[in-house]
Amino acid sequence: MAILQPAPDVLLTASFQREAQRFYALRHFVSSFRRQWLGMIGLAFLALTVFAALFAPWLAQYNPNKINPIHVLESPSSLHLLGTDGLGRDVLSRIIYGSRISLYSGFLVVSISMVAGTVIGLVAGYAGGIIDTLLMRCMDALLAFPGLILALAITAALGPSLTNAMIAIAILSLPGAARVVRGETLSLRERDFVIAERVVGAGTARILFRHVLPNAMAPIIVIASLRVGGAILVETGLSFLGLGVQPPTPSWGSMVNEGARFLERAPWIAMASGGAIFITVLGANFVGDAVRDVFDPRLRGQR
Amino acid sequence: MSAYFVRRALTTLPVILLVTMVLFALRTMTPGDPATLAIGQETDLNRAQYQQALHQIRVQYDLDKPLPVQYVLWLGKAFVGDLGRSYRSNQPVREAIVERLPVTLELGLASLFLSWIIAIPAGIIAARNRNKWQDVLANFIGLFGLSLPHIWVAFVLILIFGVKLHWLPPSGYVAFSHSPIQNIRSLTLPVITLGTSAAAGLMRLTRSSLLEVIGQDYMRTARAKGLSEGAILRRHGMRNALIPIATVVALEFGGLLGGAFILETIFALPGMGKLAVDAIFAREYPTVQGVLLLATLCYLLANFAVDMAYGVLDPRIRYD
Repeated sequence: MAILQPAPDVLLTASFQREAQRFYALRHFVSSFRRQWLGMIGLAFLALTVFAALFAPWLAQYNPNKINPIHVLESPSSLHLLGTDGLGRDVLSRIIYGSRISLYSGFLVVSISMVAGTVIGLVAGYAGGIIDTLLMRCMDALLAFPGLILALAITAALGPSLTNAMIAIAILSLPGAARVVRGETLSLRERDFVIAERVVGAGTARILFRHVLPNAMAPIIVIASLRVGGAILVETGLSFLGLGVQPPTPSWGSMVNEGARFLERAPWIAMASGGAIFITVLGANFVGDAVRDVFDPRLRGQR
Repeated sequence: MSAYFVRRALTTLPVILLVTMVLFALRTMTPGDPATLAIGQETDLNRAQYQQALHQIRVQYDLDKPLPVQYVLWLGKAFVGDLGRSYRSNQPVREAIVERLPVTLELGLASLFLSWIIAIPAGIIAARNRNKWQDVLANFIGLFGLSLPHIWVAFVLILIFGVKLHWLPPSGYVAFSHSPIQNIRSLTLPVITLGTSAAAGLMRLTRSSLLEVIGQDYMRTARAKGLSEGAILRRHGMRNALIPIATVVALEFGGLLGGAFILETIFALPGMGKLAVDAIFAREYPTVQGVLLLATLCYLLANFAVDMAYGVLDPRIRYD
């Protein structure tokens, strides 16, 4: 057995080479991404939203929930940059705080669906056989549920709760990541370098996390960034129907709903909150598109 | 083909069963006792009468039996089209759905059609002029369309065409049998909202699947043997790009249904979506269950139909 063990310095060089490769891959990604000007704009939009969410208490001029009966439906002015709503609350402050709900929804959906989907894909692809068939059938079944409709069903059963609805959306988003990771696992499982790893005694976990996962990372990132926008739009729809976040917590979706009532007298409420949704989702989509262009070798260098 | 049909049908069945289980499980998780809800306002009953009435309703709705039995009973009834009755109005759920189904179908199909006539030509133009201004513009508009919240688009359209210009009714619905012109006018704004939102994704997909095909050798051969650009695109290009497009059209159908739920609320259209949303607020679970069951079945059926159509779209596909 000892004869099969490579000398320690060989292992060391190999691991150094791998680190170097990873470093160059990262640098290549960053420089390719920089050339995607739409992606950079998208990143700026997203950064703006994250900034607003993180520093809301310092950025917002007013308490977002403070009702002010004297200043109802005031048009934008130097005092209230985006005017006030039907209860005299400052629209800009509510939009700044509302970014928290939107980002929370996007983050919740993407983190749950990507982590769980990746694990399912790895297990299905590596185990194969009956486990693979069973898991992938379940994923197919999930694809059969129309997302927003199931979210509605869940809120109908469990009462209006944004977290529940978003967990439902996350579960429905599992198949995307699971399928990609499974495909990648299947093709890598039989490659020489993976077999070699197994010969020198690497465990399943090491093979999956050190070799298979890094190779599947690119498509996962693309799916994740495109999913963020979708999740934010679903939150908007649910909050609009009154099934998402409950008042008075500011959410962009419920603000569009409130603004709809004063569409003629105070169009700025609906316009500003809709604009905020649009810019954030557009940012996420720009980033997702740019990341895909960078990763997809068929498109690389042709743009 | 027929063997494939049977096999595909057999794999769809467990999925349908799973969907019904989820819908049933959700009802059992609903807080509050449906029987108490059904009695509602009738407070003039004394205690014994009240218990009696509760018991009667539990028996009527099979609520007194164990959950698995309830599930099987419900499934059996749903299979023959009996979706139960509304707790409050006592109207059969099937009747309520049948009344509202045409509105949703009209909205959904018209939007689907609108998205095709926008997205497919736009996608073809973008792919043929790859990296030229047409492509960049189409890509840009596509990403914009994907990012626009359609509730917001709906309000902007209502504000401009309904409130300011008075060209179209801002909300409400007129049945086609009542007045065809008014019917079309009442559906124009919702169809534009829903159709354009679906068009964005479809256009991007048409572009990318056509681009994949354009790079193939047989496209070069077709050009070399002197076919016109139009014929190449029709006979060789689109023919081969159709499969992924058809798949997404079927998946898009589910998104359209979800979108219709929200838009029916905004435009006050008496469709299935409005029915479901109102029922959610009224905690009328049989109605919610019925609508959602039908919506998912429609969606599964659309996907099944597309799978079956693969063989027609691409004769190289053999099912065996």
